[in-house]
Amino acid sequence: MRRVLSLSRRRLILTGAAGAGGLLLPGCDRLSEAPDFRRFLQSGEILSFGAQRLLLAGQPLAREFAPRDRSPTFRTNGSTLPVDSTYQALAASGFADWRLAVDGFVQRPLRLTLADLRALPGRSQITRHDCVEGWSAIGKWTGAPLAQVLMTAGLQPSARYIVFHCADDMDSSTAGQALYYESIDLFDAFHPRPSWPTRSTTNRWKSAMARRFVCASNGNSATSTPSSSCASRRSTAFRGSARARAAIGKTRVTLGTRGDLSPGSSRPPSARSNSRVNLGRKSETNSTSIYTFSARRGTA
Amino acid sequence: MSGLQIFNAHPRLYWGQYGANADPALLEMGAVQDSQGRALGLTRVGPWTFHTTGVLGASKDAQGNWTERGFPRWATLPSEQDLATGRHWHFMFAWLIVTNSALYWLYGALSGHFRKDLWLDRRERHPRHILRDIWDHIRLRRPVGAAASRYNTLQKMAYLVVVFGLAPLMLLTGLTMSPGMDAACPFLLDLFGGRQSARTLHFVTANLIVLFVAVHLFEVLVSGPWNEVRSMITGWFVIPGDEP
Repeated sequence: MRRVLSLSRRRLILTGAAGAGGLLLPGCDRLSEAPDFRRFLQSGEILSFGAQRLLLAGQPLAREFAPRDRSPTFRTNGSTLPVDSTYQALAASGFADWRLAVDGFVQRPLRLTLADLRALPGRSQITRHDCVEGWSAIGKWTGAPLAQVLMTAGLQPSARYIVFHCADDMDSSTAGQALYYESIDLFDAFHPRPSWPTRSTTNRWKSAMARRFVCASNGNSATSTPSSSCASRRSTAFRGSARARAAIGKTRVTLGTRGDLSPGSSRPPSARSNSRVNLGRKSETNSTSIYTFSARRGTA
Repeated sequence: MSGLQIFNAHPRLYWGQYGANADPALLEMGAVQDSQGRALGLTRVGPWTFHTTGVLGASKDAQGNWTERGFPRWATLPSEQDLATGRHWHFMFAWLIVTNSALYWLYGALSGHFRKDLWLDRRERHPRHILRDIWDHIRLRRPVGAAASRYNTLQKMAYLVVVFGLAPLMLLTGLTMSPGMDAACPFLLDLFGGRQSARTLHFVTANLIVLFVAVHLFEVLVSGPWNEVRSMITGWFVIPGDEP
């Protein structure tokens, strides 16, 4: 008799626990939407950002892989054929009329052709491309380091961030209206060592190396997943394979100062600065929270 | 929870340095339409495919419409597919749990808690003793008297596996998924055989920890939740068999 009672008590507790669990998650959704709680959650990024900058202060190099380690099929990030009509026209003419505009807080605004970019000192590397969604692909990247372009343009002292204006749509609902953009800070944009582009003796490259390439190609046979909208922090414009080239488009890079750049901002990129340089490749806002932090810190 | 939210952004697991849609997956979840146009949730683990409609692969959204998603909305944080918010939850609480764990490890090592209370003594390590302890657990037979005030052998083993196995594995595999950490600590990639292997191990480890928590809660419930929870918080534990 006692046993039966005790079991029913357990059942009561279990039911209560399951009920509490069921109530807990909607409660978490409400928390997720509360501005104060969101600020609390996002403050974790201060720790993550600080810890990463501390550990990566020496700018250690990302691992380079052997040719045989490349993904057999390289998943392309973002779209490989943006719907934008200007882009399509550029693609039709083999990007002969395409210019990479570098403007904003620069001493010498640039408008570079593909030939200009190819003339810059470049190099190749086989590194891993990671998506914030969780997948990875290893490919070969060739091109000029972003730092080369930025040094040619010459940054003004007020420049803090680099904004990349892409040819991709922000998402399918904004076709032709809002184009994707991405931003990084100068720590990520520059390698601190001046001899950097020729440091090929070492087997490891900087973690964000691919990010700093203005032009790159993937040595693999790229297959497209046009619907994919995955994040990458790598702002890389492609040359090389025809498909990869499609990502170059009318993208620009903008140099901005603090406040220019919150990725979640609904303002179109052009409203934020009158300058731009541009590199291909779509990235996603989710991965850029670290830069939101930079912007905040800049404001403080 | 938030980890399942992140998993849902790409509900496939791989082994090795790379892994994306075109690569063979160890585990994948997805939805197909059956001949009547209904969503069919499928989960494939290695060579085996399971119908998991309603839970994995395909489940209903807030409006009751069938949608393709890895884990269902009641299991993810937040409920809707929202990778950015999921990651905010995940990393904020990662810092909290890592800080807590570090303090626990420090306390456990310095106070002798690990050595005195968790480590198995010679008698407890004997296979016959372990087998008997397993049998006792299966029969839900609780220790009485002074033995009830100590961790029992299976309990100690479970704690040891979590504290010294799963928890560090969770931390390290999590760090291996960060490209920055891979550059700063390249040995992480060698330790786990790549970012995608680390992601898979992170997922498996998380499931094992959930299993541990479920079993632990079950054991608390069957051994007198009021007494157990009170003793966890206040140290006041009434030894079974001694109650008035």
